[in-house]
Amino acid sequence: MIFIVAAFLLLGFLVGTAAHIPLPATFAAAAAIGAWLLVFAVRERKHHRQGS
Amino acid sequence: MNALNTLVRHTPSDTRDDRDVREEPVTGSAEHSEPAEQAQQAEQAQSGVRPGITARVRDADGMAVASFVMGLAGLLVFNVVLGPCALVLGGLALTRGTTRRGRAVLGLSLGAADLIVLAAVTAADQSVSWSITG
Repeated sequence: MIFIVAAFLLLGFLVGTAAHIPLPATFAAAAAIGAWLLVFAVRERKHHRQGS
Repeated sequence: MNALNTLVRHTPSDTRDDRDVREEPVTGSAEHSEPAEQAQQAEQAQSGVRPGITARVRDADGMAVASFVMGLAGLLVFNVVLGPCALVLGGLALTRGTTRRGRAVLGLSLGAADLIVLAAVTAADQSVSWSITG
């Protein structure tokens, strides 16, 4: 039992920020980060198409 | 940044082996003593085009992009893993002369921001993990 609790706490430490902030804030931050990554991927793809 | 420089100074894939073999100082010849490596260096020095350089710069560009992506994702999850990864990759990309310096610097600062955000959130919660459980 204590092993499961320790593993749970270790998982919380590993997950980091998302384990500390409330769930709606996590979703908002995930949406912002995902949007930035999506924009970056689209721009990168477009740039590569033009370059080659 | 200094630690990163000392980390990658003597690796054979560093930019130091771009120059001619004969210009290599006598003191630094210990790690270049393998015959296969010397043959490869001589081959690179003899050919005028040096195709290894463009591949290395493209590697550095990839490192800059990987550093940016890891630093951005590490803001929310896996701060402890992705933050140092972004820091190391951004530093390596800058050391190896990437053409995308802005992306590498952004990844570097995002990697630092990962650790700063985790420290701030931990201090605000007074707990290392799972603020929901109390």
